[in-house]
Amino acid sequence: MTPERWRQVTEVFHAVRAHEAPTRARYLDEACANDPALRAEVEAMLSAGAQSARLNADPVNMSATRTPQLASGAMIGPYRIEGLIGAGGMGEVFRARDTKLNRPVAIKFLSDGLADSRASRRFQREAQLASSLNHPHILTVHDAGEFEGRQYLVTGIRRWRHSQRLGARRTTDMAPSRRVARRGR
Amino acid sequence: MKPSGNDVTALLHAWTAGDTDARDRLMAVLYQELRGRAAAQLRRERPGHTLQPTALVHEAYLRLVDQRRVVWQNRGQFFGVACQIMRRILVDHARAHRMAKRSGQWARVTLDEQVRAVPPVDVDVLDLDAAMTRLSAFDPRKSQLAELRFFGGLSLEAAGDALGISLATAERDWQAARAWLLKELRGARA
Repeated sequence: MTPERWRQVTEVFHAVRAHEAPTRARYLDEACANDPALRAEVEAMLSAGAQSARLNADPVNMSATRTPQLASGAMIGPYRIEGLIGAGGMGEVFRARDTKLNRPVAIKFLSDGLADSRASRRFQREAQLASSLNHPHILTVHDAGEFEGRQYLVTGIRRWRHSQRLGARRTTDMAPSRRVARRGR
Repeated sequence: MKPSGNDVTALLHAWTAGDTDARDRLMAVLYQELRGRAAAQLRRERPGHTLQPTALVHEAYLRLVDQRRVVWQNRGQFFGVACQIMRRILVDHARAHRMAKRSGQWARVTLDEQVRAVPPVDVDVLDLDAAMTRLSAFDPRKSQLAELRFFGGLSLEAAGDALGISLATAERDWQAARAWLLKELRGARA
């Protein structure tokens, strides 16, 4: 884009904006009569601008969500991701399907921000603790592993939802296994 | 030596008086300050929370600049430099996490709005930076305006003041810059 061309684009852009919707098309037809590229540029700007017309402040905020952007269908070992259930201070929990055993599971990822040795030790201890307890109301830990440098825990999903419901008043940043461990005391 | 608020104010005054060295020193001081604060926030970061670069920039202004001793040019100078630095910090951070860019972590920023009625526009900070750089090639003023708005959260009035343009001009500039950048970002996402 040259400064001259840009001046032309902005001129038409502002002029179109000044027109009421019904006369916009006619104005564009005239203003861009022999210049379809100009029209395309202005129309793309108008549509992009209108899409977020209410974005007036527009400050940049860096999203802190460290979700590993596991799209539905992504495979982690035998587990196929189906969606994000929740996120908290400790990490994120995804709904997934164990394709080997064809059963629903929950996969909990430890936040990589917490992936220092202390947090990860705690995470492993939780996993061990939860898997060593065997009770119908206690979350079943099926598996644990690492994916793209992040530790995860695979648990039964119904139990997780159940414990999530119980803890709904609290934040979800408490690992399900921790809640369970507390109840198991 | 730890720079005090007076140092920054003095640097702003020296810069206004034509001391270009003062501008470089100011950049160094602000870079250190803002990078330190941003890093501290990023370490503490929890999902669902956001790093607010704009808040950092404003806090730095309140903390480092002696409000009783500044003239209006100083405010513009400060935000001009601080927003430029904040942009660089976020871009550096996103680059350092380039691998994560593919997995969507940390390279994304949210163009947030005060009114929660519409979902915030989620953009890649590297895409935004690249688009702003392209814009600056043919319209540096609008690119600067976008920098003040996006990275400093300045109001149109304050941003206009900083650039020495009227509010009406700032409004027009902003409409065009914003629409063009969003158009570019939409292309980058597709």
